[in-house]
Amino acid sequence: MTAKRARLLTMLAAATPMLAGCQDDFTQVALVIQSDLQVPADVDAMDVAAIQGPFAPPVNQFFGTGSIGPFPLSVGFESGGSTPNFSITVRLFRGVGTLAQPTLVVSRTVTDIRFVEGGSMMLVLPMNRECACVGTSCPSPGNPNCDNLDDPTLLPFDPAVAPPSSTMNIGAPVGRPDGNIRPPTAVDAGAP
Amino acid sequence: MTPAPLVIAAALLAWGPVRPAPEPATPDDVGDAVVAPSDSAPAAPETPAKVSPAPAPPPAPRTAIIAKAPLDVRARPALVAAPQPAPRQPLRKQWPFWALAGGAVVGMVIATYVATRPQPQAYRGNAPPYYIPFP
Repeated sequence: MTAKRARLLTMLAAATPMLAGCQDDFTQVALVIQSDLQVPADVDAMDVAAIQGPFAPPVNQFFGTGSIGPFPLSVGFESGGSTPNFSITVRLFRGVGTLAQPTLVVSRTVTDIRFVEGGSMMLVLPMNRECACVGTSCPSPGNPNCDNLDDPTLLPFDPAVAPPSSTMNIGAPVGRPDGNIRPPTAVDAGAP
Repeated sequence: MTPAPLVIAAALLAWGPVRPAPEPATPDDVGDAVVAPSDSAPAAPETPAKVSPAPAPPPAPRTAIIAKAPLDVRARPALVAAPQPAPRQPLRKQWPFWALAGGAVVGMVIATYVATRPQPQAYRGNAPPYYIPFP
């Protein structure tokens, strides 16, 4: 009887750290946008269109009003388990709120970004001044720092590279994986 | 008066005082030595010796018997009674009790922590749209 109790206590003691160590594993990708452009002198808004699958999402006319901070900027993408990959188009604008038609500064499309099951990955996407469009003319393909990417190599999530996660829109995700991403509202930001 | 009772009375006096019987709880407990006369009981001429003409004297007060004798404490006889079983320890002095109680407390603390801790969240960026979930 004593030996049985000792075994039971040993099992409990062994199970305690396992219970305490349980944590959720997210299948997610953090998009980190780096740039040498200045906010708000060069760019003052960002639009991210996203869609599941290996093909580029349709882009709409930018209608957002959300402001951005200094680079690096980041957006989180999470898979619920049934989406193995997704594609995005990131655009940086200037003149949002001051011009009738904001000016597109930089645009890059990344297709077939593959989730790693149970893993937190990171995609660093440079959007530098050298990739900026001049008027309606954007740089021709050939510069690997500016070209669109397909099936990019993801890095393990590195909190030293990715900016701290925002506390915005907790419990009210605002991104819609249909290419129509609306900016967060005051309600999303937690305002009453 | 017939001479027979007188003879018996004289014999009783010569015999000495009769030891008083203990106080009977019920009349049935009355001993054979003293039988009170009863109206209902017919006179039994065949047992005249058990009939007492006078009521039993009151019991003499018992006095403690004090023996005065030298006591040799060194020569006390050894106890021969079987050893008493070890007294059962109270619950609070038994280690399984504290082990189970401690385990229960630790379990409740862990359960409370797990149930009330803030749920971890997926990464949310620092710029709009912050977070895009896929199915």
